[in-house]
Amino acid sequence: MNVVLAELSKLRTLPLTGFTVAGILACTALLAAADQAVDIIMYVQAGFVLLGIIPVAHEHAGRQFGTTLIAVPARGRLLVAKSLATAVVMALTAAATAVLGGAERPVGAAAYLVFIGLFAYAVAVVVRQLIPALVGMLSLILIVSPVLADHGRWLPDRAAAELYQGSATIGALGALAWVALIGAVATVQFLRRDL
Amino acid sequence: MITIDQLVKRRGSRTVLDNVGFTARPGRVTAFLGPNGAGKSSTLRILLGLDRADDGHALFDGRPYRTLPDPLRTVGSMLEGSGAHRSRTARNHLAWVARSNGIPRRRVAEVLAEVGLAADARVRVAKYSLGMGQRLGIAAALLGEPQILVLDEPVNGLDPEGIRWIRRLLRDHADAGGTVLLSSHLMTEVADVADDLVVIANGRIVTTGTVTEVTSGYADLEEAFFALTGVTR
Amino acid sequence: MNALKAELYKASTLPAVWAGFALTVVGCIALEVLLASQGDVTGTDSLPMGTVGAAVIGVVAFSSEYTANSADAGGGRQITTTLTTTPSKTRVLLTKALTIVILIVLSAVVAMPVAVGIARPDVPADELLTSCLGATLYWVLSGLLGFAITVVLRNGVIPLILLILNSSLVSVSLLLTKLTSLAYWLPDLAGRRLFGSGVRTVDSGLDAVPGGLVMAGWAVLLCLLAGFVFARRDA
Repeated sequence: MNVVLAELSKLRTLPLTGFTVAGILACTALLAAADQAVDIIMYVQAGFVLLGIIPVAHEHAGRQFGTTLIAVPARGRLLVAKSLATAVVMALTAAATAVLGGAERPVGAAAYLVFIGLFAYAVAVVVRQLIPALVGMLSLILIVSPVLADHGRWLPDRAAAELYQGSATIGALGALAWVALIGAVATVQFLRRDL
Repeated sequence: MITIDQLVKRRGSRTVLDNVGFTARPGRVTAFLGPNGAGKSSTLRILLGLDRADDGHALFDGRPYRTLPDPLRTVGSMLEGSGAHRSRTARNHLAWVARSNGIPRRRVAEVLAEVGLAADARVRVAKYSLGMGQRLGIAAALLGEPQILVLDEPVNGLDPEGIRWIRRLLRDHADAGGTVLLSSHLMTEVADVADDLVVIANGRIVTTGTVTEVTSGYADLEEAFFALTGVTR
Repeated sequence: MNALKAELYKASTLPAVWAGFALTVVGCIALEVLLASQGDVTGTDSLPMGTVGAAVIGVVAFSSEYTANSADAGGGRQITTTLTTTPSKTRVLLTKALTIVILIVLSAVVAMPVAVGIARPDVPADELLTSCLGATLYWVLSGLLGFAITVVLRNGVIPLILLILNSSLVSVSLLLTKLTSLAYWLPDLAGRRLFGSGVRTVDSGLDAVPGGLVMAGWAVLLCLLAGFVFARRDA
């Protein structure tokens, strides 16, 4: 529990986290106020990608990860605590976004945003650095997914989008499958790698 | 008591550590000496559970670092500077470190005062000088009031006053019964404070012993260092 | 000329630049293969992927100058070295911009023939050529925009998010067109027609030639602004 609180304290005292959350909520409010027939979720998901990457990438911008591992050398415990802290921040922001944005299916929309954020988080655990994780995730959800159109229904973002666009059950299954896959890769990497 | 035994570390085809072994005892300051790239940091990183050894053990009172419960209460350590994210303040950095090991919050202010950063506690680490970053790293090491201290190049970047301060700190810690292990690439820098020397070169331990034992037979400390590490001038 | 050689060497030894290059080449080709396997062939659908690669090249070519080394290695930033070797800031920016253009054109030369070759679209060759040349111009201008914004902000994350977001279907500029048709004059929308008819594009807005000119104008304007800011700023 101490470790989860420490991870939450890390996120709270990092200015970039606050800016990202504020940015997401401000964009949502603006788009909702403009009252255009746009899918707000599609726009703000980029913010959730960043929000998922920050908890991991900030550790590797400099030498903080060394301090983290010295304070909590049990890597399994560290990963669980970090994932929980990230999920808490993500869930709160997603809930606020879904309500503020007046989503038709708020629970599904929030679940989709949490999924996108946690997927980005797992990708960041694997690649560690901010820019590659960000470029990779944004390319996937903003370029590859629309270009493949109907051929890309199995892609992580499209499978999970069913959560608020189609069948919640199929969406939940797809999201879980993708999280399990990338989560397993990330866990193995995290436990095995030096520093 | 720190016990390092038969440590082997390979990176690709290169053997970085080749059967490295030595001990650091309570009540004594042990200096781990060697030129850049000799294997000092690799040894300390394995000792602190950051990297995995291909063979051998590195133990604190018989236990590997990764199995210590709330390790900061047993071992205080500093590797390469502050180890803090640049956009956080010193106080916030130490606050999360303390929380992760259930260390009372009051310790943050106490260690900041102890290392002389009380006035800069609310300044972002990005604005710190090299010496201040070093002091912050030492503050994190002292946070859990540990019995054992492991410090990698602690005098790096410190001004003369800072160097005198850290020597006093390490001496007092050992005199109070604590174990101190510090690394350095300057023999002259540690000779005054260390009781025991461990010299490493090219991934192998070349000699261990008290300062007098290691340096006897050589004209001066530098001469001993160059002769032992095989660097010719 | 020596400064250009040095910049080219610097860029070619930077892994992040090669990552951008690979993103373009591998991204375009992989997408075309996937699309072709589904029987969907235009040969130019994958080209937005190159915009991302180009943006990465433009951004990292400059942001790498400001990444501080570890405290262990002295905590220095490469910009100090660059400016002591080439004290003229204008020349530093010009050679960097030129390097970015060369690298992006090179990535297009590698990626496009393969992507088009895989797709074998049923489109006249001259139309295909126009699309490819237009897309190359769009990539180059995107790279330069990314470069200029990075110089001004000394931060690579914001230009990357902006450029990737705006080269997608959920572009911020596209959203703005709902408020005012002036938004069609924003760089990313102005240049959209450069991709030709192959890419799912917006219905209204500027044609390819005037659009390309407007986008190029933006790139020149932002590069000038970058030059002004960079010259007045302490390293």
